Amino acid sequence: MSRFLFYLIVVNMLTNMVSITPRILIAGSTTGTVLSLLLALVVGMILTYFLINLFSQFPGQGLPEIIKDHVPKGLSAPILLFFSLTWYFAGLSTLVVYSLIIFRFLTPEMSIYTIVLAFVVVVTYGVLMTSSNILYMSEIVLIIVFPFIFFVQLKGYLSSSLNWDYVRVAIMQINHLPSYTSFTSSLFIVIGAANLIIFNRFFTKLKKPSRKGMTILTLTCTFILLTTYFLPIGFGGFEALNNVLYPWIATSDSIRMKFGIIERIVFIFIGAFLALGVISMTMHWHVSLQLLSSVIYFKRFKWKSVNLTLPLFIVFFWAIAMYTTKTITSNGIFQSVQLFDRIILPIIIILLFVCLLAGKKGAQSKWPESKK
Amino acid sequence: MTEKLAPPLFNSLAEQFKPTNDIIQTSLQLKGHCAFLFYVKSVVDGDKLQQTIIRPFFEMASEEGFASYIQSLPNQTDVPDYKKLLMMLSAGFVLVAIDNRTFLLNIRLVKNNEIQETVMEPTIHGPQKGLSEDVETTINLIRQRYHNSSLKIEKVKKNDVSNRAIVLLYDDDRVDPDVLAKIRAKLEEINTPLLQSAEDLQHFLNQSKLTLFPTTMVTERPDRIIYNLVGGKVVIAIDGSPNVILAPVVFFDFMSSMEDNYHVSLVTGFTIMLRYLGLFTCIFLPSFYVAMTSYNPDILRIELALTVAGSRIGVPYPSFVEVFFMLFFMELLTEASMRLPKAVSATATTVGGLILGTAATEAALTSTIMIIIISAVAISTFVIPINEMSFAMRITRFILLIYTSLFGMVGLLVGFIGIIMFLANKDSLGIPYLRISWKGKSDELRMNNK
Repeated sequence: MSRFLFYLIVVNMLTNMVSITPRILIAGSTTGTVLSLLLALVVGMILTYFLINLFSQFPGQGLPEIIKDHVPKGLSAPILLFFSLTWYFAGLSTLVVYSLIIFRFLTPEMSIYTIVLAFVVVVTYGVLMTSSNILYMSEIVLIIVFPFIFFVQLKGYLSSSLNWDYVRVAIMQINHLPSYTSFTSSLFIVIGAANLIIFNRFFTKLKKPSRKGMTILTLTCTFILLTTYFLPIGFGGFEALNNVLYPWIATSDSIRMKFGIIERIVFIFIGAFLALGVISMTMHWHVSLQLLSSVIYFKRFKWKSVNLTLPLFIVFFWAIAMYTTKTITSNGIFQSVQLFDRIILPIIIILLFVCLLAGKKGAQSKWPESKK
Repeated sequence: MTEKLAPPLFNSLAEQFKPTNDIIQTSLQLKGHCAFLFYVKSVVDGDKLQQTIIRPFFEMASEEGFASYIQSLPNQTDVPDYKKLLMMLSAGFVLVAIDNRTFLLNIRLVKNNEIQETVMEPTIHGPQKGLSEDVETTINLIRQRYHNSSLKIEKVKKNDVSNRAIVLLYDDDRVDPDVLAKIRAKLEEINTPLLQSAEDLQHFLNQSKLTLFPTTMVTERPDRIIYNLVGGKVVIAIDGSPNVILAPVVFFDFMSSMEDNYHVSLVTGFTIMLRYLGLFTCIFLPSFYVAMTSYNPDILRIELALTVAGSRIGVPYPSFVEVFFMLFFMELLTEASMRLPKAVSATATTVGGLILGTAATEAALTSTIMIIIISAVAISTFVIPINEMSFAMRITRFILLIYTSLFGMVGLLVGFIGIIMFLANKDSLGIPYLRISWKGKSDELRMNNK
């Protein structure tokens, strides 16, 4: 398994540690989150396995190329547009959540426009890079950021403020049947492999997932998913945490480095996750932009031999992002992410599998013809 | 006995060179034997001419014998077309005509062929001598360190005014043919009236007009050249320059010193770590100061935050002005001490560094902590082993500083990722500039040779 595949999955997973997902999970803590987590892990890993397996049969092709020949254009265009929109929303939710976190915890006096603008310049550049360069870049950022994240988690697990009794109470809720919302939210965390929809263009030699690769992936996913849910509970208490907006920020703010130059871990935590957030946003919007341009591309819309279609889309991206970030409330983003996880995520997964299977079938039926 | 006349070619050549005084058109005559010589005196080795041409002429019995003697000389070449002939004569070739036959002999007098000390990349261990300004000597130095028939040497002629030789060197078994083709095409494309040095050529090899980071490397160290030849890279040497160009390069090439190969592993590991910490310090620290003092003093532990704030008491402007002010003077100082003659540069650094630094804090124009930060930044910039990269980082630092001044702590972090993005998005002749390849040294040296 290519290491870049891990990065796709791990970035998606880690970014969600800070965003809305922990809150959704904690909100359902008395109604079956624990079983949902385990279920989502199993289902997520199986889905990941099949996704990689299917994509490995189309080396170097993104979804637009895969379904181009085998699905009628009247059908494929709306499907690709739908995917593009959902991926845009995934990036947008990251942007909104991180902007709100920064606004609340880092620079409360700064205008929200300025905060979004700080992302604009860099993410725009990133979105326009090639898929391979985005993967190279994310590898480097992950290598820089990973020690910090590991340190924060280690510090959390070794902290004397961590009360294991709360964690035990949370585990005791295992007797509830899994809840749908918690299940889909946890599924969203582990389904980062869906980014292959465009990034598969980079993987020209993608192999079927090996046993070793899947084992490492499963262990990482288990660790991060369980940490995402249980560590904040261990710090904040089982019931008290229901009222906290960003459980992980509160958690990391409970940890201190007594002798460090930076005393409050929360700043290291925000810094590390801010970097990951930028990567995740770049990835999601890159996918969205590529899907969009595979459907709508103005060949004549040019200025001095530079095609302006992509810049035009990006302007739209940012206009919507600015407007949303300004108007949306914390509760609003919570509700919409929940809605996204509940309804749209299952549709994405099913549709993705249908498209891939259709592409596979089409390719198989076409193969003998082309041989003649 | 009739006197033989010089061939018409000689006369037209002489016409072409007029009114130059240092051309010599002469004939050797003995008992009816006759030979004509044409050369430019100032670029021809007189002793060698005397030894290999003039003396044998008078010792030989016949014209026939002399002609076959000349033909067997190792430095004899065919006579090219007229235009090229003019160029070769001005480079130090001697034209010999014997009985309607003409020969061209290479008797160049090359004065700039001494081997230079390494100045740009000095090391304690490893070879101390660099290359030479004469391209033949440079090729000799490289060949003498790399005895392998697969080392290919390819001359490229450019039609610039100076007609310098540009030479491509590569190991045929290891080089990536695509890269080689690209380099050839790039050299072909260059259309400039004058090429003076490797740095000059490098400038034209860069892809776009606006470049910050170098995509080819200029080096003077033979050991680095050999290491990179084995790694499958192409070396471009140009006559008259003591440096050669290596292409393609990646970011990490600029962070490696040849001395890394000559130390024990832990020492090497430590120096490499120092180098990267230095790189981070020199980019991060000024911006971090701005973010700390003006945006988020609460990030630092309380004692430190108070110390920083206390040292800024009396400073009449916001921190970003202070940083720009000090960085500006530091850059001026660096630039001045580089350009000045050695005798004066000591004075400049003393006045600038010591006196200005102390006075600036006493006058409350900057904080004392700022002075420490600026010195740390200045020192850590010089830790980057390749000069070009440290120049690029000096500018990068300013870009990050502007971004941080605008957006605070977020700007610092996001801007830093932006720099990584920018580097990752670059390529050097199709090879990704910044990517982690997870290769060991032996893998690196056996590149493309599997």
